[in-house]
Amino acid sequence: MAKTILAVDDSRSILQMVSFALKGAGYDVDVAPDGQAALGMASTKAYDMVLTDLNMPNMDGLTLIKNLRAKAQYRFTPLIMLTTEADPAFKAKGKAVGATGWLVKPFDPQQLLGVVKKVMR
Amino acid sequence: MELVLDEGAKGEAIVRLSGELTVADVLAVRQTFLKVLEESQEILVDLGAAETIDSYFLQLLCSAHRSCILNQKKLSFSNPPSASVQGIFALAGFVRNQGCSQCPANVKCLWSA
Amino acid sequence: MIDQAKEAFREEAYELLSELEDSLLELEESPGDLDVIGKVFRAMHTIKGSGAMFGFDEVAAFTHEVETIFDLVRNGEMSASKELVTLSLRARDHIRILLDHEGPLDDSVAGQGRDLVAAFRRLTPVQGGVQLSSPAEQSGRGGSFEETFRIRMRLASDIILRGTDPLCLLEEIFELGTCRVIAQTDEIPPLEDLEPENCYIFWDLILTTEKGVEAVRDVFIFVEDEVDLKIECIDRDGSQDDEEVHRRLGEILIARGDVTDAQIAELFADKKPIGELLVESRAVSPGKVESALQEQEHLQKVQMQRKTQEASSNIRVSAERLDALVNMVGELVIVQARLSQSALSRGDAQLISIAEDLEHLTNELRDSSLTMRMLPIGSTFSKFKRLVRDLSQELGKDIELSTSGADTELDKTVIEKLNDPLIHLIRNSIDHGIEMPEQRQAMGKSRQGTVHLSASHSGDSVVIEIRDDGKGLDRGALLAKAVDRGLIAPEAKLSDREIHELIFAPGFSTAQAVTSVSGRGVGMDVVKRAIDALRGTIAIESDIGKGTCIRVKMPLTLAIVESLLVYVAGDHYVLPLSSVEECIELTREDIDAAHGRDLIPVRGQLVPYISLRKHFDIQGELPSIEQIVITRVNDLRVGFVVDHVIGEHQTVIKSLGRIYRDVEGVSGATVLGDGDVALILDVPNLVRTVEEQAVV
Repeated sequence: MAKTILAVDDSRSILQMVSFALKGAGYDVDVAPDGQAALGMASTKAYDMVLTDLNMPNMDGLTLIKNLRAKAQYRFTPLIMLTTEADPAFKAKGKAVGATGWLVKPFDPQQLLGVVKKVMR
Repeated sequence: MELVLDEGAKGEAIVRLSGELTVADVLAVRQTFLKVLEESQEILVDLGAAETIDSYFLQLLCSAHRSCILNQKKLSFSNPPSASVQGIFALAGFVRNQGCSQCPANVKCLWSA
Repeated sequence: MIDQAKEAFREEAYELLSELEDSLLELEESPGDLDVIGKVFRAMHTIKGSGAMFGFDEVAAFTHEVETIFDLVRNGEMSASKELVTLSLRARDHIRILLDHEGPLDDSVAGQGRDLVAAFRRLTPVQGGVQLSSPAEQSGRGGSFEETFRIRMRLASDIILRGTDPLCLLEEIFELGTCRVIAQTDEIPPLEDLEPENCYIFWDLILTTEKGVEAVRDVFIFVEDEVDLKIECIDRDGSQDDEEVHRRLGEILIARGDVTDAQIAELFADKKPIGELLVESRAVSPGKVESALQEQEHLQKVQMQRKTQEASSNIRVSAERLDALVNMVGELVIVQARLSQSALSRGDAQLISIAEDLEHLTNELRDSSLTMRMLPIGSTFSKFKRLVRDLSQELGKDIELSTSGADTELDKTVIEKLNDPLIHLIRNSIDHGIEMPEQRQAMGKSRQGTVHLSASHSGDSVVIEIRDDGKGLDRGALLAKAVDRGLIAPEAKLSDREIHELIFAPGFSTAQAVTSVSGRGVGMDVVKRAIDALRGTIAIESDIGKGTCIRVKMPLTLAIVESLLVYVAGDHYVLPLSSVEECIELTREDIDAAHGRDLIPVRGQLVPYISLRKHFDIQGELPSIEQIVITRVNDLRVGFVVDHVIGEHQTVIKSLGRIYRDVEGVSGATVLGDGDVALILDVPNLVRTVEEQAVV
């Protein structure tokens, strides 16, 4: 059964690239434009992994990760953040709220799939 | 994951685990094992229809095996686990020639070939 | 789908560009506003990043240039001048054009881009900085050789609450190469005490991979702080210590720290296999023994495989046979030269054509027989790892040796002869270069020092660098010592390079104390002489507080060199072509103009020269016009006066007999086409003579 990934970003281009690359590798992909929408979707469907941008309107990525981690269903789910800065402080903040890993933008489809493979069997 | 309790011809308890055996279910399965352990002398675990297993579930089986040894009970696989699950045994390093420190000499290690 | 993504990116980029325009105009009003500068930078950064992701390479490349500048502005290294803002606005417009552009750029657009980039670069402050401190190339990994690692990984017990599945990590390690894994289950409690979401297991892995230790560490990048990771290299292709190969089980367990020597010794009286004994005595758990057994088996397999591989693709030939072959090729080159010469003197067209064909074949034969003796220098490198480890332990220093270019090939004989000088140079770096850990910390450096050893090809030579990040050479101390030793006059004015080169002077040593490592007696002068004897050069660069780099340049082979044949009073001499720069004439007028000093102007610079007649005390009539061969050694130009230059020559090097071995200024001899013998000039040695004369 194909794994389902939720991709969250306020940039349409990023979302398209991400879902194109992931679908090409055999994953099912849903997309959401911000943290709030993503949280709603994650409550009605069980995702195997969530990829989220950090800076977004309505609800940012860190808050989304924190909220997801608090749900019983997402306690063990890989949650990956997409960040533009390779700043260690950001990674520490992400880890503090329970992020599994990160992917620094810009990335190419190969790097994206590398990270997905890294955290999901 | 799906868990079915059965009884064998000689009164042994059979725990049939199928589907995806992961950390998400270890709390519940631990409770089941605790109960079965109280009631039965011999427990058979059936992983023949399991699709996948993770290290937390392997750890749980190891722990149950240990409890059995401590209480002079028996725990073993009822039939060979599914091929995909056996593949994960190898990946996770759960293939042994020698038992572990908890195993007395006369008890076969759960993971020995 | 990709087209849609591209279109979406374009729309976003338009928005970003209009925001960028606003920000730039705002910046013009308040040039110091960090928020605005940040906005500009982020807009550029996003356009560059996403541009690269969606195949807008021109956009990404161009925006990168502008972003670089704003990074400087953001860090306060540059101010946001009016000029910069104006230029950035033009750049913004250019990005817009690039965005709309389909297909290859036409010349006018590309030209505009180039002009803008050039204008931006003119605004950038010149980047100073010493090359020594740049770590860029240090990460280079030389070639693909197999290493076997022993890995023990212990994860934080609540690791799953961060969404990390331990089996994912194992799977990733499996993908790096051949791997064995043993789960250590000793710490799993019985069901009653089990917290099933805690990870009680830790893993022992034995991995053979070509990807290097960094690739292994990369697997754990997301869990760096949540993993207790021990990685040890226990075998390396072609360089493993032999004892290590057949390590016994007990030794493996001791090396892993699972049992102690004493425990083993106690048990040893018995005759049972050690694994069984250990388990029975409860000194070590069966899981640990199992894991050590796996390591033993794995290593044996890896090494066996390597042997069979080597056997199938290579033939082993003794070095003597190869040397004999190279010698014979050398003789052939000489005979061929004789043939060519006599064909020419006879003017026999047919014979000349045969001689030319033969020359062609001889050259090929020469090249291929010389490459047969080439070996990668890596085998020498790995020996040094041990040296560095032992020495740094002895001195209480923390030093890592990194290497690159291990696959660089050099003639076997050169590698052998380089061994001692290199050991000496590395010892020197460790002993005099790298500071004690406390000292380093006090200076704001990492406690661990690095010595980087690299090899690379450069033309017909190989450059070997020993680079450390230690304290560097202290100019003052060097000068004081040199004056003290009477090597230079107290008032002498020396350039940095000259000061650094002082350490190569005989009997020079700057260490405060005599240690067992670099000791006394064998100074850098010995190293320099050894390198000179191999027709190599040695140069030193140093930056106080930052480190020292010693660069040794070696010819690829010692057997045959391209050289320049010259003639002096009835005798022939050859100079290695690699050190020759040009040939000029020396007339009576030149000599008169120099007022008795041996100097001649070459392209606006006065160059000292040596007359070979004078130097070798040759009598006889001087020709009216002599010629000077200008050579360059270590950035120093020196001319050699000869009667006349004959031309290029393939020189087959023959060593001089024992009696002539110590003759200064001559490093060997060769046989010419007509059977005559020519001496090979030791250019670095002769140049040094000139230097010494100049100092005195």
